[in-house]
This record gives sequence, C-alpha cells and structure tokens, in this order.
Amino acid sequence: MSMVSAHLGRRVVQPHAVPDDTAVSTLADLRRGTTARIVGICETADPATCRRLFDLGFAPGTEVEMLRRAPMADPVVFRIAGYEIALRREQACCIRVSADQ
Amino acid sequence: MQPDALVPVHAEAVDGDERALRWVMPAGTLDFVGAVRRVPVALQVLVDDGTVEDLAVEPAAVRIRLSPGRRWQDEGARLRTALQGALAIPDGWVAADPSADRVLAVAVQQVIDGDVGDYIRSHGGAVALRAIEGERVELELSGACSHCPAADLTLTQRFEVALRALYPPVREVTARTDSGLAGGRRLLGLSPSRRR
Amino acid sequence: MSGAHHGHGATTKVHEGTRIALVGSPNSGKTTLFNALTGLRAKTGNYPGVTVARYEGVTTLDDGQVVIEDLPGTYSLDPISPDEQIVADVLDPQHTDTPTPDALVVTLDATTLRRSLGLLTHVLQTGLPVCVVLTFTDELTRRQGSLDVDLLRRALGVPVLAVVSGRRQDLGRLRDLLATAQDWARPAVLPPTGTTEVSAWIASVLASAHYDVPLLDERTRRADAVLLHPVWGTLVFFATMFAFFQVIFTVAAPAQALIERFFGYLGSWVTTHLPEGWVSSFLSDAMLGGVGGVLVFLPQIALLFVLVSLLEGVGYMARAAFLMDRVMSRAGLEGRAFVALLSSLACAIPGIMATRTLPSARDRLATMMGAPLMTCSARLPVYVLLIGLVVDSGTRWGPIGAQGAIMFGLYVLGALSAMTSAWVFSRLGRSHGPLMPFYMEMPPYRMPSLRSVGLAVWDACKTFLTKIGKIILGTTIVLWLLLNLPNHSVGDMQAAGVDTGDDAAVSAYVIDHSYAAGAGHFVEPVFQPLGFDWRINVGVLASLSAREVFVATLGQVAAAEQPDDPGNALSRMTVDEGPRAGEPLFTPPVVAALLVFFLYALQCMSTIGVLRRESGSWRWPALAFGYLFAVAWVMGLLARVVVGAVT
Repeated sequence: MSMVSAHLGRRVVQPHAVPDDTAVSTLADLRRGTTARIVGICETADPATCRRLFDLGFAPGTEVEMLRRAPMADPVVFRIAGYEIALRREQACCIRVSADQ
Repeated sequence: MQPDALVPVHAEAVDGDERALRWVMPAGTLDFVGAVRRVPVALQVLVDDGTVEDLAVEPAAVRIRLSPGRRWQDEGARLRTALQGALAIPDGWVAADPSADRVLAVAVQQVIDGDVGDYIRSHGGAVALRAIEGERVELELSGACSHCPAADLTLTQRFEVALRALYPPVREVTARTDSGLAGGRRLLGLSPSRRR
Repeated sequence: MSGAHHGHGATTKVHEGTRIALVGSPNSGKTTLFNALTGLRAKTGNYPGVTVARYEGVTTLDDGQVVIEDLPGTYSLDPISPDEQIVADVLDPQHTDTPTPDALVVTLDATTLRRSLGLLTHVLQTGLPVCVVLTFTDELTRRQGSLDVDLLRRALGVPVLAVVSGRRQDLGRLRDLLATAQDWARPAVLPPTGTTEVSAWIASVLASAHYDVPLLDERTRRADAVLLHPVWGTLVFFATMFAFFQVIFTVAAPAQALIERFFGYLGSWVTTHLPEGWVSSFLSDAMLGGVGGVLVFLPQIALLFVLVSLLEGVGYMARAAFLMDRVMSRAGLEGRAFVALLSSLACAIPGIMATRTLPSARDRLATMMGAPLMTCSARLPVYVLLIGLVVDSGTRWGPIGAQGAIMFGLYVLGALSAMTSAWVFSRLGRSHGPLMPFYMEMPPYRMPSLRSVGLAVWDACKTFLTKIGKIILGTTIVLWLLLNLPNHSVGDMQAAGVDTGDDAAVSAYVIDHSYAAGAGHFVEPVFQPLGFDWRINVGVLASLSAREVFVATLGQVAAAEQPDDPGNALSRMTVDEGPRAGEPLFTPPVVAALLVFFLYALQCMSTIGVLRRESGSWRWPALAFGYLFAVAWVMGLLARVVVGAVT
C-alpha cells in the first residue's frame, strides 16, 4: 500500500447536515427526472465503497438527478457533478438523499 | 449555505514573495480591505505563536505572510483550517481602518494591476480609475485604446467581469476616453444572461 | 502567455530516458493523447503479478527521447482492487518493482472538472512534478461552458495546458512543456484530501477560474432517448449486434477465403516445383499450412477490433453494457463482460482480449474462462459436417428446418454454458478480490479518434502474429510430424501391398501407420464410451490445434479409405473392431456426442495462447483446458446416452 493510498484510505465521508424536518430517502428511491441533494453515504456500507462513491462525485451537498433505468429496472443512470454514471441498486441504496432545497 | 459547510478557499502564489500566499475566498465574505486589528481566535492563535507575520485583507482574498523560517509545506494545512474557521465568523474580523468604499476602490486597482490591465497595456493603452459613485465605477482609458472601436465593449466588459469577481455588488462600469469623443459611452451594467 | 515572471534563467531540459506517466480517469482522452504522442512506438505488456495491460511508448522532445507510460484510467488513488493498486504503486517511490515516473501529466476532462479535480488532489499528494492537460475544451465551449485556463493555472499552482485532440499546435506546446518537466511550478500548499475540505477547495478553484458548467450535450441526450429507451434501445441494440455479425461474416469471410486460396496456391507451387518427398511436403503442409493457418485469423481479428474500438470510442459500448448488465449480473458478471462474450461468438481471441475493459480482475478471469464456450466461427464447419451426416437438409420439425434448429440449439447451449462457467469461476474467484461495486460512466457520444482505433487494431494484430502465431505454427508443425512420421520408404510400402502410384493409397497408409494414429489407438479407452473410434480420435487430436482441422483430417481419412466416393465416405464408414464392429460409425448418438464434445472442449492453441497472454501465467489456460476437457467428456457421454435413448 503506497503512502498516498494509505493516507487517502483513512478518509471518512462526512455527512451533510440537513434540517430535522427534511425527508431523507435513498438514491434508489428517486423517481425519473427528479433531482435531490446528497446527504451522506451509509455508514453500514463498505468504507472503501463509500470513499469510491465520494471520488465518483457523490459528495454530500451535491445535487444529483435520476435520468433513466435499464429495461429490467437495474442499473440506473444519474447525472452528477457534470457527468452521467450508471449505478446498480445495491450501490444506490447506500446513498442517502433529501429533496432538493 | 448550510451551517456546516466550509468556506471555500484555495491558495495562490504571490509573485516575488515566497513566504506569502493569497488565500482566495468568495468575494464579499469580509466587508473591508487592508490591515486587520483583530481576527477570530482560530486564526489569532497562529499570529500569537509566531507562525504568521502579516495578514492583509483584499476584496476576495486574505494575503498571509509566514514568519521567517516557516514554510508553507509545513504550516499550510493548519493555516487553511484556521482560516476557514475564522472566515466562518465574519463579524470577528475587525479592520484597522474601516472604510466600506475602499473595497471597491481596491478591487478596481487590483484589476488595473492584474491581467486585464496587462492586456490593455500590451496594446499600448492605459487605464486608471477616474471616479467611484456608490456602486458605479468610471474609468479613464488613454493611449491607443481611446481610439480603438473595440475599447468600449470588449475592454469594459472584460474589466467588469474581472471586477465583479472581486466585488459582486458593482452596478456599472463606464469608460471615458481622454479625447472626450462623444463623451463617455455607457454600457448596460448587467452581464448578458446565459441560456439555461 | 501569463504575465507572471519566468523566474529561473536557462531552463533545465529533461534528459534522455526520462519517464513521464499519464494519469487520468477513463474517458478523459488520456489514451488518445498517449497515441498522439507515441504513435506506433508503443508496446504493450503486463504489470507484474496482475492481469492489467501495461502501455509504454517513446516520444521525441527537443533534446531526446522520453518514455511515456499510459497508466490505467482511474478515478482515485484510493484503490478498491489490486488492479487499481498498480497505479498507486507505480507512483510510489517505495515500490521498486515498477519504475517511478519522473513527472506526471494529469488529463482532466474540462466538461467534468468538478469531479476530475478530485483525482488531481490525490496525484498532487505524491509530490512528483505534475502538469495538467485539459481535454475536450472544444466540447466545453460547444456546450456553452467556459473556463479561463490562465486563472485555473494560477489557482492550481501547476502548469495547465488545453489540448484539443487533433490540433497539432496544441501537441507541439505540450511537447515543449514536457521538455521542461524539471521546472514545473508546484503548489505552495497541497490541496486538502479530507472529504469536506476538498469539496470546498474544488468549489473555490472553479469559481476563481470562472468555470461555467456546460449544458447537457444535446446530441447525446437525443441519441440516448432512443438508444437507452427500454423498448427501442433494446431493439437497436440487437439490431446492432446482428449487424456486427453480418459484417464479420460477409466482410471477413471472403478475405479469409482469399488467404486460404493464396496459401493453397503457394502450397501447390511448392509441391510442383520441389522434388517430391518429405521436404516438399513439410514445406507445403506444415510450414505454409501453419503460416496460412495463422494469417487466416487476421481478417476476423482486425475487423472485430475495428468494430469494437469504433463502438467503444463513440461511447456506445457503455450503453450496450448498461442494457445488458442485469442479465450479466445473473452470471456474477457485469454489463461490460457482454462485449467480450459477444466478440467470442466470432472468435475467442478478440473476445478474451476485450476483457481488458473490465475493471475487476475477478470478472476478467471469470469471463476469460467462459469465453471459449461461446460458439466461435471455427466450430461452424465442424457442426455443419457432423449435422449433415445424420440429418438431411430437407428434414423439418414442424415449420422449422431441423439442421438450422440443431445449430441454433448448439449456439444457445454454448451461451448458457459460457454464462454458467463464468458464474462458477466468479464464485471461486473470491480470493482474487472482493465483489467490486458496479459503476460505469456514460460518456457523451464523441467522434472516435481514428488514429486510436487504428492503433488498437494494429496492436491486436501485432500481438496475435508475434506471440500467438508462434504457438499455432508450432503446433501445426508438431501435428504434421505426428501425422506423417514414421517415414515409410517406397520399398516398405510396396511390401505392404500399397500401390505407390496412387497418392490416396499412399497417404492412407501413412496416416494409418503414423504416430498420430498410434496416439489415436492409444487414447481409444478414453473415448470409447463416447463412441469414438481411432479415426475420430485422430481428428480430435489433430483439431487440438484448431477446430477446423477436424474437417480436413476426417476428409483425408475418408478419402483415403474410399477414394472413389469421398463425399459419402464418412456416412458409410463402419467401425473396425470391438463390440460395434461392422456398424455404421457415425450414428446419431455418436454424432451428438461428438458435437457436444466440440462444443465444450478447448481445441484451439490460439485461445490457449491468448489466455496465457492476458492472464499472465500458464495456470489459467491449463486449468481451462483441463476442466473443459472433463466437462466435454461428461457432456458428450450424456449426449450419447440421451440421443441413444430417443432415437
């Protein structure tokens, strides 16, 4: 493990604070064409996956839009940080979002 | 802005001064320019322990110089955290010489000394501040630029973009040429809207 | 140029042999840049210990040549798999099994800066000299985004250069920049890496550089509305795949036929012009046959790579993988494996090479193990021959032609077996890494760099000819030796009652008494339960080099036995000895066993060669050969029993 990787591996994805009354759901629940704001990445998910999702642009506080689903409902294409990325349901479930403010 | 979000800053080098860096912050975070009398404790600690030699506020940055013998590669991360903490409390910053108008004036001077000014000078022209009225700026264009048909739109627009980045509330930038041809030419103070 | 000072006096130039590495995310234009810098002077290999391809090339700067390394595309230096660890290891001076680069070029896609700057923060932590190449700035402008490159340079503290693919002067400026790598500016303070801090840093940098986010790419949006539509998209997808295959068979096939004819012509030239005997036969059959047997693959491989590279370069492959991902995940794989398996329907070689696009080593190996089971085009002549032996072309089962139905059934069985095999190996491969989270960028549709397509095809063909060609040529020679030795003198043959004037009788005698025949008899106990006799065994053994050889070998055997009517010879062949003596050899159960055997067995030295190359060791091809042989034997037996019970 290189020094840089070790250093980066110690990162923890800090969640984004939201007012208590905001409804929080997961990315997997987003309807087509809707946008939401990322609140956090589930602590129960594998930490390496959390960090990878962060590096892919799923940073708390960022806006994300659900674009479309594949024919058998999985995977789903999202628009985030200026590009489009497909995620499977099992990854999308790990990302908590709140309705766009 | 969410309560727990950090103030976005990044560091830029200062020509000719290795111990100093301009820490760029969102324009308008602080409402004064120049030397400071007091800063929030997070940053004051670094002044008190001898890390920071000098602090000066610019329209969209804080210029910080380290004391002799200190290096940015050692102090940078710590200083960034302290600065972000301090900037989150704008009220904790007290100017040595509080004067709100000065922000716009300093911003204009910064643009004149910066890239846009360089561009004008490279074409044989010169630009100076003529007057400030509230949020309106009047410039004096002289030299080759006064006869150039592009002077009006291009230069003034570029100047205004650069100025707005440092001082968002600016309302209008006009340029007067020294030959006085047709008086000053006015421009719309609004930047063209982008199609969304 | 910036008005900033230049500072240093005479700039120090890079010296000969300096290593510069390209780092960037996938789809950032990094490989196009690499190809533009190195062109044909790139070579591929493998990183030590992993199945990751390694690309290195040379480019000429003012003072001399420097080595350019194209590191695997990555989104982060925080690896989640052993493959990604490679990039971090290469950049780490502590790792001595890969040379550390002297300078880094980070390619950032100008249209996705908010995300791509994150990778830059990681790379800057390495402490190596870094410069940034901004790609797709033309696309940024077209999509009404904007960016001030000079301000970005000031904000980042490293050299920043916008390079648009295809613009010569941009490339010239890049070469000039690379020549002064020792003097690149470095940021006074490294950007933060903590998650909240880095988001704030990126926001500050982008604001200061007047970055305007580009609008959605209209072309892509409109195209995806159709191509990713659940109904239309799937239809277009299948139509594209169908067209894919039509092109392979209509364009590659004639070229292949030409090559075969050419070598056949060369072969007959040799036999006419050289005195008859051992040497002329060796030259024409073994050498020319071997070389021809290698070259005949080229049109198919080249064409497949052209199509796959074009589709990949345009961005359609990501869409295809997206549509197929759900199906693939049933087999423990992911959508991108579909392309590899699909390519294997023409030939397993490009299919196995295509596994390089899979980010997970586990997926790569599982797909490589399954790919040979897809019905490749070499099996077709064997299937056609064998099916024709027991089923008449006119036979119909209801409205469907029987021959076609059986062929289709074989294809389906092959595909299902491939998926099952991949699933099994994916399960077994747990030790090779955890199940990676699936994510796949969907890049905007872009014009592919034709240069990159050409280089990809060239690289594939070159690899095939040099590395794999040797294996095929080697086995062809060995087989020839086995089929034609021991040498029999004219006197020996006459003593055995063979009419030496009759070529067919001579070759029959030679085959019947060759080492290969000896081997055929020797392995009889193994294949006896499947109903194969020694002649079929010779064919099976010969086809270990390439499946089509089976048809030719059986043809030789048949012609030898019944020279006056070789066409019907096979169907009238009877068993020599043993319990079935006197009965027809090719009965439906035996043919079924043979068909199924060919479906499963790994009878292709080229595939073994590619497996060795792509997996980095002999372990995997050996494993594939072994397990596929066992499965082929069992399934062949099963087929014989089932068909025997039904007919």
